Amino acid sequence: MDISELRVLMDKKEISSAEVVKTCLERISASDNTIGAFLHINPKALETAAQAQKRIDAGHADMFTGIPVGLKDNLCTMDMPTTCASRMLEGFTPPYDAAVVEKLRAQGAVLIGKLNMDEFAMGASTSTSYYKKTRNPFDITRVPGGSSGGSAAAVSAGFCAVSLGSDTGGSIRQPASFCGVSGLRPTYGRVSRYGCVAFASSLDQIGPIASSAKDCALLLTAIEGKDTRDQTSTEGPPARIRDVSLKGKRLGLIEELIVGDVEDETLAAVESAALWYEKQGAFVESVSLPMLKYAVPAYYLISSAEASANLSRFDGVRYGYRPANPESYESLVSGSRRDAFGWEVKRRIMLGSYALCSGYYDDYYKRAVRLADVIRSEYDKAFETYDALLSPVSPMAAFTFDNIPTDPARLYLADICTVSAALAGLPALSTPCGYTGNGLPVGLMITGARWDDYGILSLADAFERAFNRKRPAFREVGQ
Amino acid sequence: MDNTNITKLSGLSKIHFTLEELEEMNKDMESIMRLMDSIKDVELPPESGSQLGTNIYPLRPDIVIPSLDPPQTGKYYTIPRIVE
Amino acid sequence: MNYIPVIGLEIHAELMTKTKVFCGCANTFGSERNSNCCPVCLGMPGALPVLNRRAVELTISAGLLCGCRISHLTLWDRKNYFYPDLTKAYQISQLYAPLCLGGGLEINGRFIRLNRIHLEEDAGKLIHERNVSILDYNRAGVPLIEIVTEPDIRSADEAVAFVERMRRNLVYGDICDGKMEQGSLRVDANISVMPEGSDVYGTRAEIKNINSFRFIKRAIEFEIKRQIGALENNGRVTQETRRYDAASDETFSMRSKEDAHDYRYFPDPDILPLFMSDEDITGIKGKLPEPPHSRFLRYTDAYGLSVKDAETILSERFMSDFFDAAVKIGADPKAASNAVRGELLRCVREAGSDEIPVSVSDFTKALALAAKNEITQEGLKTALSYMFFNHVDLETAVKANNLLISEDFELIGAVITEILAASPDIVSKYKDGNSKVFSYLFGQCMKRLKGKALPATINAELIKGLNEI
Repeated sequence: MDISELRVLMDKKEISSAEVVKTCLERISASDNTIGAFLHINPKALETAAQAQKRIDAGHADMFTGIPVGLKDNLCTMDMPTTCASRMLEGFTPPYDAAVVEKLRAQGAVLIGKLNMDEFAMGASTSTSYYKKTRNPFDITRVPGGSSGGSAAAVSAGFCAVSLGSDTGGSIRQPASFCGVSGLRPTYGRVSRYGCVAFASSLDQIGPIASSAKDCALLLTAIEGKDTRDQTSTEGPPARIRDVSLKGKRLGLIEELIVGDVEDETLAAVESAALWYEKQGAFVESVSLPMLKYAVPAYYLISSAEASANLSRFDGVRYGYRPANPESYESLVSGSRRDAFGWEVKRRIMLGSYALCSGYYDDYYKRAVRLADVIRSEYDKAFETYDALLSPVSPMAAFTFDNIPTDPARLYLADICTVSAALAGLPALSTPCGYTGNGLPVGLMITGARWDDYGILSLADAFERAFNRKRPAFREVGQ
Repeated sequence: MDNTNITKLSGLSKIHFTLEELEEMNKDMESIMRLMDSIKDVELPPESGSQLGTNIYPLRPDIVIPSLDPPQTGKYYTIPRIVE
Repeated sequence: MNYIPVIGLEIHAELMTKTKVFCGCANTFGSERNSNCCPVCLGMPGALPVLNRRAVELTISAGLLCGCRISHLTLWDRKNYFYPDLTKAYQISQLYAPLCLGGGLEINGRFIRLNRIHLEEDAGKLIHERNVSILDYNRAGVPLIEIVTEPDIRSADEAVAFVERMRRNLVYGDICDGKMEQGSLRVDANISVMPEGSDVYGTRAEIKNINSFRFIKRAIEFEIKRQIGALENNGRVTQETRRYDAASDETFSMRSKEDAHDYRYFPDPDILPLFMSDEDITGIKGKLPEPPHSRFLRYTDAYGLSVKDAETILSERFMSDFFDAAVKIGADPKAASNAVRGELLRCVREAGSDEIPVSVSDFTKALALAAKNEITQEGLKTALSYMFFNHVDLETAVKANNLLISEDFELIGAVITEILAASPDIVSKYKDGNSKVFSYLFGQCMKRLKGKALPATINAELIKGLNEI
């Protein structure tokens, strides 16, 4: 589903919003039992489609009027539960909409449902969800990636035209790459975080997942902008996706991310993408960002520390899970958190609390913040020379459910490619650039200078127009 | 990291573990801390870590924005009796 | 052995902003429970704090009034701990870089230094019922400034004087309404004692949440005695948190909820560091209302009021504002001072209010009438209290009470004649040379003629009358 095409067809009345939405609902009905992308389907979807149709008929359509959009379940919606895939928020319906949700509603988008994720966005497989497993449409024995696994799988399986995910250390880019779709992590501050349940406040960003960079750009335009309810949000320089000439573009291939444990097939796909850019006249060379080797520990210390504080509000007093018959305030709180947080969440809270403890603060949290600053400077320096940086999104393609690393350190190290852009606050996207022998998608990551979101989207768009993208074999089964 | 540390952290974050869980969390944290400790020896320029961004005055104006239907308006939130 | 008390204070003052410090909920006292709440102050998932400009301005105003250094770059930090009245399980406060540093107040010739003034958020109200505890979050997120002194205070009286002076600054600066009974001003005291001549501070105990001036004095005095007793008995004072119980007039150890707690402070990533320029700070300074000290100088130097009278007028902002307004439109300062401190203050106390429902112009005109002897001093008092309690203007009050001096000599003569006739034995006594009974007769005449004639006139006519007998 190409948004621009859909828009044209819909505005010409050749296809109605209801038809598009019905198609999505039918696909969901046929296949989501297997894929497991959705936690909640909006019972009012067709009603919204009808409302949207009125606008379209009156000639007042916006870009997303009548278009089915999926939302990661950490985005607050007043009319649908927002669980963050946790038992802690089972059945919780917030009394307000997230800023991005408000914007989409204002356009008349059809919010088709809430999408599965790793619990509280902590993870890279969506397998820590309390509610269900999401499977990769390309191979249902494999994970869709995470934490926005449901968002990526839904777009990949054609359950909706586009979706919103969130990226703290790679949670949009990695599942996009595993599921063979495009996903963008915007520049920090570009999109309001108001109403996005906070994981790590200085790193979280909401971003688009779609079947093309072009559609990501359209969705970004719909959701970006300074919001007075989020003091970290800023108005970025206005821009759009554009045809770029690749001649003379300087692209840096990040050395530190193509060595080590990167699988051969992944490397091959990324290198062939780099080669393609070269063939179009770009200069591609190796660039070294030595501090990147500390990016994973720095990321985990900062994100876990902030998360440990952000998740403290979940105590069963005002909302959320409460154990039955607590005898005291203590047992109310500790029972709530004991029963309703999963293991990964507990791990991060332990790590985060430790990093902030008196006596350890300087060595861990503070040091990590200083490291992030140094990494930011390294990137800034690289962008004095390069227009964009290339790398894999993940050292490997989607792994099977049986092969999820159990050792946490090993698990965390798999994030090596994605965390550093988050630490630096830079925009970065994933676009499919190849397939493994098993038919699994491999993503190319393009990182841009601060505020150059549309620049990297344009670079991706150029590549995508030449690249033969595969759809998941699964879809043949579903259709 | 040993059990006393986890116990202290568990108290600070109000998440309690069974003995078995304590053991497992301890193991996990040992692995994780080995990874985290890799940042200890790297040299950092002294001025690193300056602020993420600067909030320029004038901030939010002091104008009331009434919240539509705050949950529990007119009612109290209730918890078990606290003994002080 | 003589012991010197060493006292430091932490004063929490709720700011008079229209909204809370991090959200747009109304900051008002006495609203229906849990009605001034929103996702931000309730700590709901996805909500974010947004810093209130006015709260920053008022904090800086407080600092300027106390001679503090205003920081150009300030940070907000998360102070992490669990308690049901704290909705996010962290309080946004300022540890590493507060808005105001240093400064202090001079109290009776001694300079009491401040350590800092910083801005933070208040918690909700936790009330214990018989079987449950209940929570009202209207107060959660109300802006609070914390004023921390150095341990420079040396007596309970000095502590009270300090709090009074600080409260006055805050009230005059439109920063805080100073209503301790409503909890908008709370005092914690850190108290220790050390042997005279020593320069090593003793172990201190913290007395929390004292909410009236009387209690400040008593709690501190009790604690000093208690600590001296402890030192003389077993040589030790425990470092602990205590609370003052008014009923027993004692302090008790609290089962400490924050025993050596690790708050794990770190800069709040939702609230970026705040940069204030010199111009921003000067702008705030320019908007400050006239501080009490400069008014004091005006009252004593320019108007020649006594120190005591000046302090009395200054003790309540509404009195000082009223006084200033009257003088501004031409009232004689001494007469205005007497009337404000006298009849108006009496009326205010009787009404139990903190307002003067008399217009400044009517007040000033009334003073002028008395000055021109068109009404007596008694008449002035009557006019003021009548206007105060009946909410009418001066003309109405004067008419209703017949206050204009008529100097109707016929009437005066008639009244005097009547009184003299009614007390022949007293008149005899006077005639026999007992001059003291004159005041009784004079009093009778004054009562009957109440305000209709000047005392001097009554005096003269009475003497004439007596002489004619």
